[in-house]
Amino acid sequence: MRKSLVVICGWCLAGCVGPEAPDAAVCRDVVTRLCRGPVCAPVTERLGVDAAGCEAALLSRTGCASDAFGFSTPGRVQFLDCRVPLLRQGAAQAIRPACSDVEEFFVDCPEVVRFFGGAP
Amino acid sequence: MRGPSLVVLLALAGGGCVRVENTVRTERGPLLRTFTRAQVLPGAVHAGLRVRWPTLALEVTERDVCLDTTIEEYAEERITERSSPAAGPALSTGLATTLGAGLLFGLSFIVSAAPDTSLIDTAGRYGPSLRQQLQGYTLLSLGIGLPALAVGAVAMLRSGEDVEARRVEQEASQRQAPCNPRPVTGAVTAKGPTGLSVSVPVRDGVGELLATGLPGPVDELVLGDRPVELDEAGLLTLAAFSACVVVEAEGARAPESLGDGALVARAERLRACNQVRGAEVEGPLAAAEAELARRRETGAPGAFAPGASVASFEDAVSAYAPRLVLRPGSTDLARLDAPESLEGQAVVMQGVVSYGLAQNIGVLELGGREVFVFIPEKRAWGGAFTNGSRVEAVAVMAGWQTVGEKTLPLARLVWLRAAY
Repeated sequence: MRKSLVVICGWCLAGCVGPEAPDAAVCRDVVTRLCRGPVCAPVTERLGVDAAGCEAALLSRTGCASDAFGFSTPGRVQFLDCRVPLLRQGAAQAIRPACSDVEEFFVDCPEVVRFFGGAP
Repeated sequence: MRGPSLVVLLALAGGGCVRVENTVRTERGPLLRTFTRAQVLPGAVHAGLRVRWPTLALEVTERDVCLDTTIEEYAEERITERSSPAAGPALSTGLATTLGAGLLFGLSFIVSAAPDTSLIDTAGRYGPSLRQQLQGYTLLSLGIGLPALAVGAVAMLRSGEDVEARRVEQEASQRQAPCNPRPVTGAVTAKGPTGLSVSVPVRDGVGELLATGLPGPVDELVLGDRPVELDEAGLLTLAAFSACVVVEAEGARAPESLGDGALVARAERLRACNQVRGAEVEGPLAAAEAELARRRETGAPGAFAPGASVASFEDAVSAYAPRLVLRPGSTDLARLDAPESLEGQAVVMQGVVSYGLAQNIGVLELGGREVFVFIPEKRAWGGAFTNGSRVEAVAVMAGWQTVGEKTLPLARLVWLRAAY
């Protein structure tokens, strides 16, 4: 009975979420959100990129354009925690985060700023 | 997920509340048979009475009551119908939702199993594939459909009709009669209205009550704590015996010496006693009846015959010694509220002749109260007293009298004269 219940609950939970995204996909997700136009001022100021070449520059700096990319510093867990403010407007990549959330992202996570080649 | 989960919970809870309604009806079938059921119930104690003066002979018997009841036996069907108004909707909802779940589950194998890479949640996981979503909806549908299906199926299974065939009895008629008479042995207690209680030994149903020494009349017989029933003849015999006991206790009394009430009561006792003693009391009875007849004719107590022995108002006062004065303002007037308590007492009255109702009866007004006065045919006083005349009289009170619609205290006049 208990086993059946666990199976049913597991099935139900499995119906709500997909598999774990690779590190490269998580990194690219953040790059995409930060560079979605119009690009917020903190991005260009802190990371030293222009709006037009934002995404290419950040992918190049971080190396997460490659599917073999893996987090070291910051780690995956820390990166995901720092990413949370960028999802406040919605989880879909097509939704641009608010600039105040981007500013919070940079203030709270200096390691991530350094990861993207900026000055915290 | 929160909304659909709530729906599942509500569906589960609602399923438990499905009620099955029972309707019971009874159908009477044909008459199967008719029979008589005999019962013997405890009856009463009965006594037959016979007077052989001075003895009252008792024949005491105890009887049962035999009860014959005619019973009609019918076939009867008790039909219990069970139905659930929710069975249909629950079953159809359950079927539709379960079938929908099956359809969704089948479709889930046709659509893509690739995760939704356009979404990465806060935990770093992709969004669910379309197959996962369909299978999730399948679970939700089953969560609603299966309980509804179960509820509907249980309700349908419980619905139906039970028929219980049985036999019922109906009393058609009843007849009861005393039966099994048997003589009683024991002690019968004779009780009277004055507190009399005398034990009479009864052996094999036979006992004797002696009038000699009985302190008063008997009106009830009791065996232990059970009353002894008497038929109509027995009641009359007991009343006659009791009347003889009282007459015997009174001894010989001249009827002329009795007041009106006492004379009437004695005459009644003698009449009752005459039924069982016959010739032994015929003499006293005849004397009492004659005195009563004489008083009806003259309207005066025989002990103080007016007219011949009373020649004036003063003579009447002297002979009758009235102790009550009934006149306007007199305190004795209040006694007229209960004239039966004054019966036989002599009074002096002062009032106004109100009106004469008949040749031998009139009305006197005494200070706002009225009294009938009986005027004897043979009277010694003379004069005419028209309405409005002021008079005074010596009279003897004689209870209540009704003439027409008027009921007033009655006084028999001894002497009447004009006054003040």
